[in-house]
Amino acid sequence: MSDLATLEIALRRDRNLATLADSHVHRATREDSLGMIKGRDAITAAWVNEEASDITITADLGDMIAYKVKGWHGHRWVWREEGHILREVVIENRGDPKVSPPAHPPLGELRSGEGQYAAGETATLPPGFPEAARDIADWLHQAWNGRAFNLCDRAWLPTLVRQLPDATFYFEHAIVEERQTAILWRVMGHHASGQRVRLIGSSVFTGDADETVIDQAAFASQVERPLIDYSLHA
Amino acid sequence: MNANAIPNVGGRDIAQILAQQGDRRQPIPGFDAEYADIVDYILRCTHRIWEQKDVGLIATHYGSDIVVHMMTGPSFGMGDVIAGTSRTLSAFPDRTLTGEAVIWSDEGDGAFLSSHRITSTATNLGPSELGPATGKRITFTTIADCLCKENLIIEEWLVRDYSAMALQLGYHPRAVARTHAAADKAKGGRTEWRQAAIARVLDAPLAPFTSHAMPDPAQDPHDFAHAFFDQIIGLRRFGRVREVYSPAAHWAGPGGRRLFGWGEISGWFTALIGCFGDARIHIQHIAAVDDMIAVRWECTGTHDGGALYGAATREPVYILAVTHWRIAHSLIVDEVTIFDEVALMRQMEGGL
Repeated sequence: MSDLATLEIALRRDRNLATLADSHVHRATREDSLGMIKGRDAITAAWVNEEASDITITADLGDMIAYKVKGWHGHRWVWREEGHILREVVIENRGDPKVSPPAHPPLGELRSGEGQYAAGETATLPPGFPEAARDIADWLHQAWNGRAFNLCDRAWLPTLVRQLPDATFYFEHAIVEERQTAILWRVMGHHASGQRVRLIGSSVFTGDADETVIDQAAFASQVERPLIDYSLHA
Repeated sequence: MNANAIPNVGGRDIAQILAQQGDRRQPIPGFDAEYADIVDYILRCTHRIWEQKDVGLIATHYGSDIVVHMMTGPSFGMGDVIAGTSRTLSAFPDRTLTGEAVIWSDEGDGAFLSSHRITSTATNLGPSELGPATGKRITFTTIADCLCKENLIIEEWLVRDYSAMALQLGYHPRAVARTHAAADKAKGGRTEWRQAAIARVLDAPLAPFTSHAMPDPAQDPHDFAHAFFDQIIGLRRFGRVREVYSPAAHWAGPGGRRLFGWGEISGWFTALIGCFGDARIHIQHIAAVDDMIAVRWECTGTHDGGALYGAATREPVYILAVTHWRIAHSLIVDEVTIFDEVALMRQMEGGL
């Protein structure tokens, strides 16, 4: 079991929050689909609000774990400095309603510089993205950005694209293990409400099977959130 | 001196950073013996003055005639620094100052420039320049560019994300700006310092139109920074964002904005010029260390579009900003750009 999986159990089941002082550097950040909190103290405060729960680790790829708690699924990705966690990204689909903080109006386009070109067959990947995950990324790009739904028969995909007709998927990071590949991705798209929805997603592939998590409550809350308006309508 | 031999904040926890560092790791003539290098000096004296509340230590760490440049105008002298620090601590007594980066350069003759990015968490327990105390706990980013020599900060350029602070405190940034502008107008006309700053930017030469490949930021950070601002802002070639940023780049900016990827980041630059169509830019300073680059820049233009700050007011504006980049694989993977949007909107309201 990885250090990250051991930490997740210590925090969630055993409530040993003091271990965060060793696992995270003081300037660690945590990001989810509703924003970012900064600092080990803030991360500890967030854990204080969690109830003690049994947990099952369903995938362990070292610096990425998938877990199941009370029927809901979560994925956690971490980046380390000298062994300590500097950054974590958390995707949990817990079902509980959420409230999104006000957001600035969206900026820019989703498919930068693409104009009328079709999605094509090749994913745009950041440098450092593992070459061993390229085939999966290209396949997902065709299925998700190219709308080749026949390549990826998952109910969530057409459901999401119906709600966000211009949904665009971005590949951020991947971890490849012998039997499994995990991919961290984002999706942005515009809802009929006029809101730009911005979500973080995570998928673990084991052979032909995958476990994909998107925070559906974050999706719902972003549709409802107020926009920041710098003008004064006096 | 190999800059990489000076430990930065990366890879060290706060206890390691603030532990006594032992012998000098860098020649820093005239600095107190307890400081091992310029990074240690900046992080340790910040902790002592702000978190340990030894505000009087400013007397031995700031020049008596220091000038602190801000978007609201310069302050002069050590006394103003002590008074300003005390005011901020009265408003936010438990403010923590987490150093996220210290990007420094050797300026020669024993002087160093440190671009210190700080994320603070603080509870608003007293009145601040934004309004009465709210009791709210907020997080905000500051970048302090400090010119240091012989244990003294002798000149400082300070940018803080005041609009993010106002939003979290429950104040409307434009309403705060309007209040400040009304006070400015009651005092009289436009300030001389701002007129001089705008003239300085307008005097900077315009970059000729070129299509050269962008320099490698890892190999030539100074040329890269100049090419970046010349091309993307100066020449309005927003699409070159795709040549200099990772497609999965993260961008953080004023008002607590967070953007991801080429489309949103190019959207920021488009919107900025969409607000100030005749914008001109001037780079004041560049520092680079390890995988980080700091650029302090200033910009002026006419508020002629409503992309970010409400309907055009036709007011001339001045922006003082600092940008921090983290570079990987010769691309920008993280950016933090900070300037004071409350002071910007104060100018749009006829202030400063």
